[in-house]
Amino acid sequence: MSKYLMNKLIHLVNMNESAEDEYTANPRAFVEKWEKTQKLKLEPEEREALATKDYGKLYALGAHPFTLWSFTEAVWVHEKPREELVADYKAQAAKSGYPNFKT
Amino acid sequence: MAEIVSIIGITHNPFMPRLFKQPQQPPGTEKVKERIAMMRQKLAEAKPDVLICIGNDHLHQFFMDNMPAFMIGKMDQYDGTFYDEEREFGLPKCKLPGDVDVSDAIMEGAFDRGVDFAYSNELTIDHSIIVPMLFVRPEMDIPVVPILTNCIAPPMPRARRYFEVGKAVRGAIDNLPTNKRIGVLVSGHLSLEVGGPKQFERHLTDPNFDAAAVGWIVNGDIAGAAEGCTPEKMIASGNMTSGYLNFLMMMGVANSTKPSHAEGLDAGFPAIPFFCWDRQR
Repeated sequence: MSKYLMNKLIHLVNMNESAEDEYTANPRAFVEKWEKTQKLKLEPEEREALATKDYGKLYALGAHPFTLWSFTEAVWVHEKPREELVADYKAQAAKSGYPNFKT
Repeated sequence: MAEIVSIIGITHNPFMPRLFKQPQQPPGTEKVKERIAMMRQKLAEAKPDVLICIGNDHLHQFFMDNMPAFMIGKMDQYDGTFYDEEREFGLPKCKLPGDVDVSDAIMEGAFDRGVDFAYSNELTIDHSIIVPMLFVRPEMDIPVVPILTNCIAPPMPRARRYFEVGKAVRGAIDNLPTNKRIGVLVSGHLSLEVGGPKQFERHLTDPNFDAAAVGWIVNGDIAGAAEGCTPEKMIASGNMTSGYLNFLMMMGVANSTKPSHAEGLDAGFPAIPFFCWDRQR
């Protein structure tokens, strides 16, 4: 598990407008390019979840929920109406209950 | 000798400033605005020269590459807030004046009382201070001393430690080499969930926790709070309930005295905390 590194990418995309734009345009390419600049490595399932904007999986893997929601809204709200996104996020999260998000 | 002229504990719900501007507002909003107006009035009447603002960073400047438990800002002026908070909450960029002398004196005074604050000479503050300021001092004209906690990214200090840090801050305030009138503005919440299955629900997240949590403050009951605020119990009450720990620091600053007002307002949202103490002798 590299929850820390997963949070690091989520944090970057959430807080930086140009990273947000670049990630949203092509998440897989962004993740691959960014990971090459890091000393630590993502686990395959973390990399895949980030590359597919899979918030349910990121939640299940223990991403920090506060930042994960902000990130999810930022990168999905242009594709899914907010109410629908909130409902689906909650339903996806409910499948995993409360994964430990301690790093 | 400095004097504490007011202690206020309030919500930092970042959605509320935008909600208050909407033409259609949910029932219950008026009650929240009434309480906020009351706190704003109390602070204005107390006429503080400096505001010590206790809140928590929300994984903005604090991150897991270098995570302080407790940190104090030491700047003449602070910027608020971050890009994501403008985007998500519609919060305004703003500037708050600082008081470096008081920051320094509180940090040094806390060292003498067994608390080793981290410090920052380049601190941007997020909604945990911006929102309370928008509520109770929208002019943002009183110099602030920001004290930030980590209360959302585990592992975190034990609940009792937030109280002890508050006691050390109180000791440092009481011995400040100045006659300034000190206000203390603390933000946090009661039971709350963000980014989990129960987020954004229009009701109290855990009414039992909320009632107990207000009671611990009213009664100055740090033993009860420490027992009720283990990581496991807080998570069970809502995944961000640990934001309550800021209020245990407030209890320490108030020397466990009884507040003049204490409630977890049920207004059709997760509980909205309001606490205050008038002039402290």
